[in-house]
Amino acid sequence: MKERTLTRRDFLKVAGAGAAGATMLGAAGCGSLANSFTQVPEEYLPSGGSRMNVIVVIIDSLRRDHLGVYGNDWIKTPNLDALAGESLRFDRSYPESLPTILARRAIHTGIRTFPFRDWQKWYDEDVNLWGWQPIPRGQVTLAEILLGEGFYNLMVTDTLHQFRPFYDMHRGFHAFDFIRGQERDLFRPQSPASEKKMENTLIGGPSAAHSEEIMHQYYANTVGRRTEEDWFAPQVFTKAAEYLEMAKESQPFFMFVDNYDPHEPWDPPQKYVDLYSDGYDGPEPVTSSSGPSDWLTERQLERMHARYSAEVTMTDHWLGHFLDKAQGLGLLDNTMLILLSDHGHAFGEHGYAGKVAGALYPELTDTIFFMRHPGGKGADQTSDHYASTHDVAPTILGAMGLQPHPQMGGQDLSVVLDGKEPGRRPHFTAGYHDHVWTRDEKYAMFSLYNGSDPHLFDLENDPKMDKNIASSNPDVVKKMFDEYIIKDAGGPLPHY
Amino acid sequence: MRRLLAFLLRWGGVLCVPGGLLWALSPTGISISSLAFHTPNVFWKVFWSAPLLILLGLVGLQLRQSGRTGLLEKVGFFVTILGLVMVIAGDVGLYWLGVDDDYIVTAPAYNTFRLGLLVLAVGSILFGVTSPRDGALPTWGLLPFVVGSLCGLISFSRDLGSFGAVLWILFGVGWAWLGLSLVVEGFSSFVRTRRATRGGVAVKQ
Repeated sequence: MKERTLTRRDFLKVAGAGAAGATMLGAAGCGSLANSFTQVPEEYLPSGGSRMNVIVVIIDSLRRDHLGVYGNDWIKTPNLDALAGESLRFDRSYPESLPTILARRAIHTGIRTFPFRDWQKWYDEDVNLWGWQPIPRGQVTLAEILLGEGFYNLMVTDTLHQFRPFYDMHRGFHAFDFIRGQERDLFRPQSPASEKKMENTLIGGPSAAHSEEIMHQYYANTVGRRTEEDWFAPQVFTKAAEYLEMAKESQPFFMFVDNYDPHEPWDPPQKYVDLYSDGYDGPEPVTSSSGPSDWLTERQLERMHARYSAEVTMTDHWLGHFLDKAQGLGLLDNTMLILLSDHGHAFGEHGYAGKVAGALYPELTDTIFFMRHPGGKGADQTSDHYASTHDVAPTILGAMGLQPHPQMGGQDLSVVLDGKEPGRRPHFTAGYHDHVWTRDEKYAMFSLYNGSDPHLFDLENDPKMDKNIASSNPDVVKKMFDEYIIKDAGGPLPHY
Repeated sequence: MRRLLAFLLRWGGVLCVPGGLLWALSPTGISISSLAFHTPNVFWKVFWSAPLLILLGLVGLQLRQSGRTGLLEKVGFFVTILGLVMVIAGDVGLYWLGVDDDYIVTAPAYNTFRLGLLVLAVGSILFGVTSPRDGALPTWGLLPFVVGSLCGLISFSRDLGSFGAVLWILFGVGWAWLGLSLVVEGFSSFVRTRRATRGGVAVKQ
């Protein structure tokens, strides 16, 4: 092999090249001489990578039929309607189980809470509903998975049940803000000022003692509110908007905004109440005292509904503030947003007010589920696929091309954005305490956990579920209980 | 025809010159694209031509010294080729096929691009360091090339702003320099041959 040595001429050429390079480096500033950088472009690498952020917004107790996009012509929800127009909407969304904590468990883990097997009441003072307990330690949350994928996770919520002792639903989040004081959150001691507010509050009905206990604490928590920004939905969405600014610097991020309004108590600023009710001068029905509604006069029931509607509009307004912030920061261009509610609320429609386990009618079971893709996929389209709370986590992972965790039982609904069908769901089932609910294309049915006291409805001819036809269709009831509920539960249902 | 093909193969390495220059001009191209179209992506859509020219030039260089290469140089050559292919694939996937629009989080095209840059720099260093032993490529062309490759390795590893842009430019300049050295060497060789031929004729007369 021919050996070559560096000649004088070679050396001069190399030295020339080195001098040229050094000159360019010098022109670039190369450290402290940074002021001469302006001559050299700053950008040289391709942009891209993991850029889609995720925002999940939960609006507690929001009924599907109280949105303009679903045909309601008297409640003002301009921001929700606009968001619906930019989103894929699932018109058959139901919680796989309810109420609050059960829905949250499913959303965080992608695992069904129904049929409430191995339920353990966490402590004596905790809510006494089947399945109401913290996320079991062995279950992995969406936030924990995204944490492993390099996401910056943020949580804002005023849903008090999530920050009760041991509930640790904020695990996996880098930062979280608990807006204190909602409902019966043990936030502030009661005082004469708060007790005075009880004088103009309507307390009564089947759960009067419970309602009274809630209101005592609620008024104690909210003494001294002055401007609208002091109410809870404004606080939640304002804090979430603040978090967006931090999140922008830490993309990709996962933001979980869990807003308790329009859950009772309903005491929005008066200007919102005046939108839907006037001339009322009795004690204010700010809670529903879950159960039969016959203890309320028609006027009181109307007023209660108006106060709820007022909170819906207030929530919509502050959701709009949050979305405007996201838009202003340019985050909606690279952020997937899922907005859903966990259940509804009854206002005397079937003789009940509140959330009654034995009254699983549309006003309680029908929720909203919007999915907004930053690329506009599925915008203003609807799907009649049964969508639910436990689909949220696998849907988010699926949208990112990530495999759902093996524990997850929900479906990846993001495929609908591409015009595909998720796995077929010919029916859907849900549970609420000691009652179960199911529906298919033709019927809806609910009963006690053991199949007794069934209620069956023909959805084609009776979509509001006004006429119980169970007694004349025992075969349908048996089929729906055995083939839908027992099958989905994986065997006979537990009871406690 | 065979002579033409042999000529092209022998001088294919010259393609490193336009390839390297295009590479070196890319930060400027990004700026122009951003200014004119409010997005750098218009430039990135045509960027693949730079690594493609370098790839073709590298094949020419390798053919020029085929039969004289050692194992390490072959490894360097193939690693460099792999890096270039990854960069081209990443660029096309990212800016033409929109692969990352469907896989936004895993971003396969972007990651291929970025990983390809690192592979390319490592391969280039290996190729540059091992080639002088074979003698087919001039040492004065290879040394700046190695320095440029080192600059590339630094600038590809993370975004270093303007400083990184300069290093990126030097990487391209290194490739252009290597190709240019081939031209200079070829021209010098041609002149020496002609002089020798003329001298020989003169003696005969």
